[in-house]
Amino acid sequence: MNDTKPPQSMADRAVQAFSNTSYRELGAWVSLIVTCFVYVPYFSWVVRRFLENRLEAGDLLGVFLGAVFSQIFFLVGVHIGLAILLKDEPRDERDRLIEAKSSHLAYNILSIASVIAAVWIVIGSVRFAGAPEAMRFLHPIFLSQVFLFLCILAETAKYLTQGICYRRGS
Amino acid sequence: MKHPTIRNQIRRLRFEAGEMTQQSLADAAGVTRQTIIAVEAAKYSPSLELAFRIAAAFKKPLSEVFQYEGEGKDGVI
Repeated sequence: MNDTKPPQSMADRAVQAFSNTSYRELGAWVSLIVTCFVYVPYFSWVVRRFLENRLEAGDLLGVFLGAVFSQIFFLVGVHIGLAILLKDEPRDERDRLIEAKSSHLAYNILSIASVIAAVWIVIGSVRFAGAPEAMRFLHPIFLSQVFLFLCILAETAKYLTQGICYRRGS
Repeated sequence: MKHPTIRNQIRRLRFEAGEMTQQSLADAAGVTRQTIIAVEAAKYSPSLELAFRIAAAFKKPLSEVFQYEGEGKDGVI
């Protein structure tokens, strides 16, 4: 009746858990880990530079491109590995439902966070009106990083939601 | 999240169908094995179409495969 024998050790349980995990679920967890691994240091660097008033376009572009290429490299490499290890099957109704749920949540987070960010920027510029600090909140470089952070936040929420939904069943 | 209120007899029916594997049932129903695992464990409520395909794979009526919670095994509410 059981498809597999009862696991006898932690290794057996790990193998069984892995075989019961779909390619898409593992892909979601991997994407989440890679995104955090790449962009947590990136935004830490951006925030540190911003607070030190040393956020310059030249340095920022180089670090940003490094982050993007790192993300692409890790994601492609790991997904190729997963595709070799696991069978990729066509999306079924549960996959489509989970994708829809995660995209819906990511959109809501992006919308709400955008409003919060906009209010924060306006308050910051008003709070420091007349002072040099006000321009920092309106500087294009700063605004670009805020926008990028919101997008990464929404992507992270999407991957996390997918992983949790797959673990819980739907 | 609200827990599904639909029970199923998939595990028993697989056993009775010559120990049909989850992968075989998944292939017959046109879904992934992980979806069958989730349906069997009552963690995911299948769509009506999928429920009918699963029942067709067992050559059983829908009410014999799935029961709405609070419903008797004979399908009467």
